[in-house]
Amino acid sequence: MFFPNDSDGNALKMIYEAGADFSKTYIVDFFIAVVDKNSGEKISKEVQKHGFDCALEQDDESKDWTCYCSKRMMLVYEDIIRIQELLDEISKPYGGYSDGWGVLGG
Amino acid sequence: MGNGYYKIDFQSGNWYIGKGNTTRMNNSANRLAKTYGDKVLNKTHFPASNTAESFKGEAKLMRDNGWYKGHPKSYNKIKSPGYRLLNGKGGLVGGALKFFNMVFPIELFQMRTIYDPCTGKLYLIHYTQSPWSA
Repeated sequence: MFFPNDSDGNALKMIYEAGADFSKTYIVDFFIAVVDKNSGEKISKEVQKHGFDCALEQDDESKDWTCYCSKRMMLVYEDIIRIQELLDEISKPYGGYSDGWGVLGG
Repeated sequence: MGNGYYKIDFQSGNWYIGKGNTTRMNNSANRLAKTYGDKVLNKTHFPASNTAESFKGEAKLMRDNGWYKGHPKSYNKIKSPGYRLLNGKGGLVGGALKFFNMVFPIELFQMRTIYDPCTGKLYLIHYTQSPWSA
């Protein structure tokens, strides 16, 4: 299986090597770094319109606010890139930005 | 954005793999440990995989912030070489940067931290006096 040589591709490669079955769907968490709770709530509303489950949380240690946007999907590089671009576009007017993604497995 | 990728291993045997910087990795570890009551055994972060990606990230930052040569509020004297990579006109070849038919040793490129008062952000800039800086 081919994975592009960038952070997204390398993360996917690591998931593959960890034993994930790429013929199945996984819940992918996309992170949006937000300025504060207020802007995070506005971004969450917009993102939910695109079919994501959203949770707005503040990290206990860093105190950073994050909008966690989750979606069950196939682990396809192009889709992951496209979604990050979409979330970036949605969050930019509110001062937020797409800040990575992650998959739980095991 | 080329900010690396990471893996978090949990006591249960589960793992969490994602793209992001070290702060994001730590936030994810805290969140998952709290949500599932699972102890974090190990966290490993891998920086952005290649220089070309870093250049792309830098170029995207500059583009998104309305940079252009001669911008009155820009501290960047030249356009990022990442612009060429973004446009598909160059690439990384054996530790050197290749643009069209010219190859430049990576040592030619320096990194500097630049504060942009327009956005209030610090940027790590790959900076060079390169042939297209004139």
